[in-house]
Order: sequence, then C-alpha cells, then structure tokens
Amino acid sequence: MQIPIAINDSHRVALEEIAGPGTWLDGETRNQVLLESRHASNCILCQNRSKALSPYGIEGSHDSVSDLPAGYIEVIHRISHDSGRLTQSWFNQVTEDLSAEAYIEILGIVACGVIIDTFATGTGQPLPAPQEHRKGAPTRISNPNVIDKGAWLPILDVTLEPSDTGLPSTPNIARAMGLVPSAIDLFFKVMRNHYQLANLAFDLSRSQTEMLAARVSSLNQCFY
Amino acid sequence: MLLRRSGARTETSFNLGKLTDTSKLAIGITAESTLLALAEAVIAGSQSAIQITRKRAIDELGEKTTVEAIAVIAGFNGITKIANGTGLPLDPETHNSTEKMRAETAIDDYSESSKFQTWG
Repeated sequence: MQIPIAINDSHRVALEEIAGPGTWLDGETRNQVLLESRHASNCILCQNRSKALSPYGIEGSHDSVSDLPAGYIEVIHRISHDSGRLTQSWFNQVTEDLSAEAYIEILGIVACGVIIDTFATGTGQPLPAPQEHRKGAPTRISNPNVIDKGAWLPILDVTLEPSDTGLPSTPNIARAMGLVPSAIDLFFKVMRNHYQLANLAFDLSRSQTEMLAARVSSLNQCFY
Repeated sequence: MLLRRSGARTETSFNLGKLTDTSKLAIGITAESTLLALAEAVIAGSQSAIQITRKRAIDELGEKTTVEAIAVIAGFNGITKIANGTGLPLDPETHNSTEKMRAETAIDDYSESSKFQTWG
C-alpha cells in the first residue's frame, strides 16, 4: 500500500525520540516500554484478564520480554491491552511505587507505539523495529504548570478560548499528559498525521472520520 | 463527540446508537458498514479479518481512502489509551452539549463513575 510520507516520517521520528533519554526514563528503558507494550497481547495473564468479567479478580505474573520492574509491566500491559477497564483504584495502586511523572511518560510511549503498530498491522506492514537506544540521563524536570481538573492526575494548565469546532482551543485530551510536556510533544507529533480537528487533508470525509473515531473509542470502552 | 457536530454542520441526522452497538439502524454515512468492519478487524488485530475488510474497503473506497481510514483507526486506538489511562473527564463544554447523545449511545457506561461502580 502507498503510505503517506508524513505518516512514515512521523513514525520514524517518534521511534528515534523514544530511543533517546526522556524526562524521567532513559532511552534503554523507553525502548523496553515499547517492546513490552507490543508483547502485551501475547501475555497469558492479560489474555485471561481480558476474558474475565472483571480483570481485578485474576492474579498472576505477566509474561515479560524485558527486565523492567513488575510495576512498570503491569502499567504497560494494562494500558496496551485492557485500558477500557482501568480505574482510579488501579491507578492509585500502581503509582504507589511509580511516580505520576514516570507513569505519564510510560503512557505516552505506549500510546504512541499503539498508533504506530496498529497502523502497521492495519496496512499489512511489518512492525518497525525500535531504534538503537541512545545513552544519556533523563532531565527529571517537573512541570509546575499543571492544574487539577478531575482526572486522576493534574493536567496542563492553559488559557482556554473557543475554537471553530465549538470545543475549547486546547481540549482536555491535549492537556492530559501535562505533567510531562515531552510526552505530549511525542504523542501529537504522531497523532496529528492521523487525525486533526480541522484541516486534515484526507479524501475520507469528516463524517466518516468521526464515525471511525467514535467506533474505535467505543471498542476501547473510552468515554472521552 | 464530533460526529454529532459534523452532522449538525451538514444538516444531516445520524443514528449514533450504532456506534456502540445499541441500534440495528444504519448511521447514515457513506460506506459505513465497510469502514466499521475495517475498524473492528484492525482493533481486534486479526490478520485474516484485516485482509478481508481491507480488500473490501479498497474495492469500495480506493487504496488512498482506505489507508486514511486505517490512519484514523490507529490514531484513535492510541489516543483512547491516554484518555482511559488518565481518567480524563470531558471538557465542560463537551459534557454539557452531549448529554442527549451520550444517553442515545449509552456511552455513559464508559464513564469513570460507571467503571468505578462496576470494578471499584
């Protein structure tokens, strides 16, 4: 299939960024997050939890392809494989041993990887390999410019103005990872080539686009 | 949420219940069954289903539009992880303006309060 250059380029750039040091995680760890996310669908515990009426009654250990801590793997696998049934209780539990900032950085990498991998699978391409990780220390700079808006963690504090779409100029989804602005940058570097509220140069109509968006949200049990 | 606005802009009425499988009626969008089947196959990750639905989409819509559809599907498969993984509430404007639509589609079943009641 003929893949738009902008999409291919954004995926390549994202994989390069993932392989480098982030704000809270180093490049090697970030690459392992990506690989662990890809592996989640093969994890027996995740498969058993998916089949269960509630994932919270199924105990066990995840099948892992990395040496990441167990708490990281629980976060990565659940977000990748069963995000629709995550709850605040679960979030509070996993962030007892994991900082909210590290959680957000992991979330951003997983979400980015999900887009790249879903697109590759959907178009019949092989999954792109991670880039060689680059050495370097994460910056560990906290972002104080956040505000509590009812999510599990504070989101980016911005001045809101009405937009042409009738939605706020910066919708909550663009603010959700405000604790780690580099995670927002990474994610939307990819996302903006897949979807935009306006000026998306697709032959697919706006109604068809929004129908697909809504159906995928529903399949992921996503309220937003 | 924006499908409802898209319909309003073009003065088209869509049956949104189909998006969450709460209705057997058609939504009213060109090639909807082809596109919805493609979305379901891609999200399920079944290679055989993807091949079948992708071919059907290419035959009906052309390769370029099919790639675009897969791009949207992939994008929303990613962005929903962020919304689900942060317990993100709707923007107040969206919350207030979508009350009827959320009731029509039963999408409130996916809200944080509903998930809390179901799974704690």
